[in-house]
Amino acid sequence: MEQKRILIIDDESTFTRMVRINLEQTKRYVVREENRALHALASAHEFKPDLILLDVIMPGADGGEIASRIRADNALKHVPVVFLTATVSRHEAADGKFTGGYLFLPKPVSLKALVECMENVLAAKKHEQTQAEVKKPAA
Amino acid sequence: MMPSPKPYLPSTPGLRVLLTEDCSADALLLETLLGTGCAVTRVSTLAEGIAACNQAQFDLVLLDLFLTDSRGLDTLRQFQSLHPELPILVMSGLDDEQIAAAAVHEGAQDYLVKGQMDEVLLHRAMRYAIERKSAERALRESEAFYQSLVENLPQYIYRKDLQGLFTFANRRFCTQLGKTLAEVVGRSDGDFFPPELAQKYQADDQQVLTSGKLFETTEEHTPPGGEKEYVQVVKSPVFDSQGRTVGTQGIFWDVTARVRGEDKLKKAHADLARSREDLLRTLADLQRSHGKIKEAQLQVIEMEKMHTIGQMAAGIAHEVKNPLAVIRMGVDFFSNSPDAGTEPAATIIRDMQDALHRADSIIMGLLDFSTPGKVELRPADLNMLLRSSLNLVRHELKAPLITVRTELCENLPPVLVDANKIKQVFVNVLTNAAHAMPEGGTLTVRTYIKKLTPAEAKTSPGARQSHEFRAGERVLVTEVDDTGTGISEDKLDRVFEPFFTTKETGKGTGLGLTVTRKIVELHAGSIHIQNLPERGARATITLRTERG
Repeated sequence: MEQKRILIIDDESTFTRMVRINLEQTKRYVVREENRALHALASAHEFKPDLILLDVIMPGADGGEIASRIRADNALKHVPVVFLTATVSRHEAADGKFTGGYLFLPKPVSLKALVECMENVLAAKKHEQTQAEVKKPAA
Repeated sequence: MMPSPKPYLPSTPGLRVLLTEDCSADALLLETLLGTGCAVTRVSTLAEGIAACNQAQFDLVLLDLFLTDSRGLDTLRQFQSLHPELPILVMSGLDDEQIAAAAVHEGAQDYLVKGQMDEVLLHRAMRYAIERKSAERALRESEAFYQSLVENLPQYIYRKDLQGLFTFANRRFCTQLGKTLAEVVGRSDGDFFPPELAQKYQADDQQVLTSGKLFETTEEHTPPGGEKEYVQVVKSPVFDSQGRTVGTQGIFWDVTARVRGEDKLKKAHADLARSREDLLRTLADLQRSHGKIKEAQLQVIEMEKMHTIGQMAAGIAHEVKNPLAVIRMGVDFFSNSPDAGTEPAATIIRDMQDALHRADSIIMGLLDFSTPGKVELRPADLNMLLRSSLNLVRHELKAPLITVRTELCENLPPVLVDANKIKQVFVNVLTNAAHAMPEGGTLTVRTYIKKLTPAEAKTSPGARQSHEFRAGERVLVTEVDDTGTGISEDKLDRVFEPFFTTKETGKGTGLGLTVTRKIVELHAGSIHIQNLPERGARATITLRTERG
């Protein structure tokens, strides 16, 4: 089974480590941690993730800015981004709201909820790509 | 035989008597009758008598009217004109008693007939003569005294008879009328005053005569071209010695200055009363303003406090959520380990998960509290929201067993709410009710519509509302009753304060009702908590209908 590449950008290194260990234990993911917000794009270019988990409030640059730059980057704009945030309230989280086209997950998130969310997003992305290929005219 | 008693002899010892008698025999007899107790000076002529009086003091004169240098009443007149202060006892012969009587009429105190008097009679006549003279003097002095009073007092004084004719008027009154006393006496008011005024005076007199009582009034007069003047009038009946009313008398005086002074005083008093009322009104306004300012100040302080707590809560929430996220991932890691299903690891992991859940709930509460946000009001079915909320708390109602009773009024108009936020309110209130019954009990949920009375429209203690309801407004009411222990009265006012909880440690964050109230206020509604008479407590949430 193809392992998905997950880039987690968060200034909390203990959290990124925990996520990495948990996800990699499933054998379904390869995880790279990036704790420096300013290196987020460079890491993404280098790692070429299938999905990015992004913190909202970080020193140097906030998650919103980084997400905008990813969207503006041709090499990265197709990579889905899921926000992990400590600022979202109960109802905002419960509704699983998309803000600006992004999905937000509240901290502390359970591994189960995180994996489910990631799988859904990845499945949706795959479906999107498949649809795009079907529509593409034969060369 | 007992001696006959000595006749009573009026005591006249030391009396200085001038005996004017030209007949030696008569004089001798009189001296004998006068006795040695009196100091007698004897003269034979009127001239000698007058001379003696000029030289010495006498208490009495015994005067024979027929002397060698004067005869008859002339003797008395001459003596009197020169010494009017002396009492005179005239002595006459049998043939001239008539003249003696005339002398008494002219001012002699008495007369004695020679040859018909004895010692007792003489002394008694002398004493009476002295006393009568003294009484006459006192009367004259008294008359002079009253005359002086009547004529010199600054009052107008008069008397009238039963027909209303003046019998007396003092000088001041006469001067005012511009008449002499002779011109006043015998005239009536009609002769001096305009008919209307005269008529009034006569009516007043009549009242005095009829009632027999004192009549007192203040009369007003406005002289042509002048200012109003005031006269104080006192009238009283005049009685004769038999007590019969024989007329009226009056005294009056100008009180214009006094009345004007009183008027000024009354005006000043009225002004003062008005000023006082104005002052009291101003004071009341000030007190009201002060009350409002105080209330506003308290609200500002409350808002500031809430804002500060909110900011702090948001900061704490953010800082705590990250370490919680780490722990959560750690617990999840151990949950997936091979030993996770065996004891005691399974219990430890479960306890850690519970602790995490609790910590997360507290943080969520803080975030809810710090981000009241906005409400998106839409019409909703109140009963449906309640049923949905009951479903969310069903796990709280299972152990211990709590019986749920619903008394939901059907056909309620839509309530205007942010459904998710109001569900949070209901969940909070229902959870509190469930927690209040640790031994189980009955939870009653009730809805109804009502029209607010003026008393209900006012904010009641324990209730908080951002927008006051109007009397007569139709509102939707939700009541949640429990059969728990209730809330002690001293804590009832504090249940909405942040971080205040009556629950045991670990059971409540102390933010539930604070957030609940905040959300209700965002809906311009109200919430209040009260103890029920028998047992338990009631939360009453009042919301507006779609039409408001």
